[in-house]
Amino acid sequence: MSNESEADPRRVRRALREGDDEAFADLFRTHVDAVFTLAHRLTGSWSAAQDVTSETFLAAWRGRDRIADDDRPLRPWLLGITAHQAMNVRRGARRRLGFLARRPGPGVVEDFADEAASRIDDAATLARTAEAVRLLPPREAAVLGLCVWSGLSYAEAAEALGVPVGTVRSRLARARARLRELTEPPGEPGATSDHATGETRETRETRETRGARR
Amino acid sequence: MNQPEHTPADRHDRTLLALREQLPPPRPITLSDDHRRALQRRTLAAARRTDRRREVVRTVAPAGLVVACLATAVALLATTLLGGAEPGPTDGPRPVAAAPAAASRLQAIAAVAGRAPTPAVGDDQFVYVRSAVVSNEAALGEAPDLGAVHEREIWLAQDPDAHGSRGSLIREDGQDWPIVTVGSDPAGARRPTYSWLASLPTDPDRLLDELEALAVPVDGQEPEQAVFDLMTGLVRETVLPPDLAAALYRAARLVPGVVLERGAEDAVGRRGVGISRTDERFRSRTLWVVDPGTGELLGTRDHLLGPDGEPMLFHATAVLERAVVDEPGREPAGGGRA
Repeated sequence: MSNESEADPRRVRRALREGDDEAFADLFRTHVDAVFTLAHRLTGSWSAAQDVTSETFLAAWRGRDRIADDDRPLRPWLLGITAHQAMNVRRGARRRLGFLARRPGPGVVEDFADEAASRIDDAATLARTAEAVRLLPPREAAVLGLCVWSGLSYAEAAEALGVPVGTVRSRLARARARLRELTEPPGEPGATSDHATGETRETRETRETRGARR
Repeated sequence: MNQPEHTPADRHDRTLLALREQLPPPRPITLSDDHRRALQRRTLAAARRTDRRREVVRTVAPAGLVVACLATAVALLATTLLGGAEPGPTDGPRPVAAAPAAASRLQAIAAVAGRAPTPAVGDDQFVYVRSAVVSNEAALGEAPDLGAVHEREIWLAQDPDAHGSRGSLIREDGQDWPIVTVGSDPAGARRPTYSWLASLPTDPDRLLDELEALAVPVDGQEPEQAVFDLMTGLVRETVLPPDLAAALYRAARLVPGVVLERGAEDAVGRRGVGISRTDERFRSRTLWVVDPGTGELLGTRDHLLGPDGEPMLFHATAVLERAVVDEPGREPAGGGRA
């Protein structure tokens, strides 16, 4: 992700600061897949990922006055917002964000069935990802998503989240320790039949229930 | 994604390597073109709303006069204008979801509206609407305090260009209020020009698909209410293509929660067919008063609902004149003044 070079970030930054909505539309097209992917990994839900994606770009647009005038790529910044937004979902801020509580109509899933189908063979990995995010405190999950999955450097993640680099490092270390303690051994993919609908949360709940019975 | 770039120090970081091994990322998602477009449309629409809100906050101090032309009266009550519409059309015809009495009256006014003559509106012209308005003059959060009936005129530029809203004007309270926007403001749901309205589908199901994609629920609002509010914005201070007016009333039959209100009157007491929907999120109700003889919107009423559901009027309009003119600020020739 961050290794794909962005064309002339300084120009994009200036255009955004000036409120150029063409630049905003370009920003959206360039980064929407990366943002959506991270949002999906961190929320485990197709519909929440849509909301988080939309809210991420909106937050970026609203905060355009504060974009620095320099040459750094914009992707880490966007992914930092994504992590924040996704973790807000985790923190139960759904009511504050209002629209996040809504469900998509039945047509949505059908329309995007191609995307869902391409992900089915990935379902076991996805289930483990969702499990890890569920087990970790939001701050650690955010760092996991940014550094381990989205490939941000520690420095990029630190800036994106507004914390010192040492904090990123220590959160990752704590995440690793926690996951070593808590995760089940690999090899148990969990229920995956709901993936076609994007409702990974149900998968997680199934696993939780099973864990409790054990 | 699979070969992320890390600083040299990171690359040899054992924690990172261990986590990558333990939790390999699922494959990156590439959205389909349709999905990306739907999400983009929703996001850009919400961004434009945010801008409009900003601009209104910045430029309009007295009682939010200008916003009422493009945002709904209900939106005035909301302090945040964030949100997104769920994209995604559904397949096949939808069932009638409005209350039966409302559905039947909507069908009748749709038939009448569809037979109206087609107006000619040029891209370089302005749609002019003169209304009588009663509006809440109380501060936000206080009980409604209605001012006297006053007149309001609006000239909406029809230029479809991204910066085509220039010249648009509201004349109200003895003063001209230019409609100023930040950045571009192309014709669309927030600036419903005649040609944009004429470009919308005239099949009720397809129209509703489109409106659902465009509607942005505010702060936890039901999506159906956001659609109804959007429809209200499209019928209130506009000149409608007859086909679209008919489709819009038919589409309203497909919206759950739409009901008939008997004895409906506009702001100057003219009776008409009352079509309303209650916004459960903001505890308010918006009423359309439609002329059964022409299918034209006579006016609107907005009520806040008290703790026991008792309605408190906070906004009412009555359209006195609709016209197409060549210049903003100039009243149509021969237009009878009230």
